[in-house]
Amino acid sequence: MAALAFGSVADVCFLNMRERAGELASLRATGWRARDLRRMVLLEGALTGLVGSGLGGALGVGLAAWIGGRAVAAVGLAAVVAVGGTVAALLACAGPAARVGAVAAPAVLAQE
Amino acid sequence: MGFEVRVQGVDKRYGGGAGAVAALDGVSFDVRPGAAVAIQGPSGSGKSTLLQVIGAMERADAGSVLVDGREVTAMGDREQAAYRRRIGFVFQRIHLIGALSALDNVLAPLVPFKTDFDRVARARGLLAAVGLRDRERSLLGQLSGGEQQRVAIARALVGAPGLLLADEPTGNLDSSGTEEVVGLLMDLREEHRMTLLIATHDPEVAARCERVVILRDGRAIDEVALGDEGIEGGGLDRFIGLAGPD
Repeated sequence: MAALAFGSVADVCFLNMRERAGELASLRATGWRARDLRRMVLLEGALTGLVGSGLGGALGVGLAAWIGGRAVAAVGLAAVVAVGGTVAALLACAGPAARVGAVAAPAVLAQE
Repeated sequence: MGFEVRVQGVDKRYGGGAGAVAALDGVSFDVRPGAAVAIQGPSGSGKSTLLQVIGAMERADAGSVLVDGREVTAMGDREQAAYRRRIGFVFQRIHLIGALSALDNVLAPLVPFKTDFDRVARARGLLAAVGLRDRERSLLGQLSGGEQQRVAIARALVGAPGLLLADEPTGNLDSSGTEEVVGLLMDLREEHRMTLLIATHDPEVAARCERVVILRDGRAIDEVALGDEGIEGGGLDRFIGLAGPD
């Protein structure tokens, strides 16, 4: 299940990058280096992971409190999930980020 | 002061072997600092490729591109990125970031770098210069095509470039939008003392420049001097004859 989620995040990250190829190439044209583009893709992945796993953890804590009154115990687990989710999203975006130079190719800037 | 541009014998091919396509074939021309020069030709003539080679977005296979005395074709990746921060690009497909405001789009080129000037003040000043002082918080979807292109022009100028490369900047605009954007580019060139290279298939846009380099099938087949005030002397007939319908 974790591997499937990891693959899905990587896929979404790569598709998102392809959709925004023009934006990325135009940033490159303004002087952004490949490493700047990679950092941006990784940061976006980490933020997406943080928001997603944070919201999931908060929902879990709420459900634990509602069902069994064990919110305090669930908070620790939710924090672990949030950190783990963020790190996993960051790692999942590492592959697509490495290919950002190829995605942000000059050809996408030419007229169509 | 605008940058001098010297292009000598530039070749660029795509693909290899028998299927190789020559996008540029021995293109040569010079542009004096501060001049406005049009690269005119039909689709597929090599205009975009030429601008991308001059702008260090593509590497030439042969030949020399000197900009402000520096050989662009010999630059490494880091040097190229630093060079691109000293020039500006405007594209037909505007390629701004839809989720950001006009002001944030103008600031985007500066995000990874330290600057020794007030970047927000400069971006606001540029938006005012392109007539969008009241729209700086507007998202792109709230702006017309002409307004978006003006944001793109402001973004291209935020690094105070000595050379502005505009690739079909009016290609998606109607005639009033075209007039507005071309007039703006010409005014900003004078104000900022930049060199301006415009790739266009539109003879009316080219005619606003002082010189036109005409490309066909990757070759610079002629140059027409139009004078500071547009077409003068016998240039008109020659220009129309060469640049006529695609």
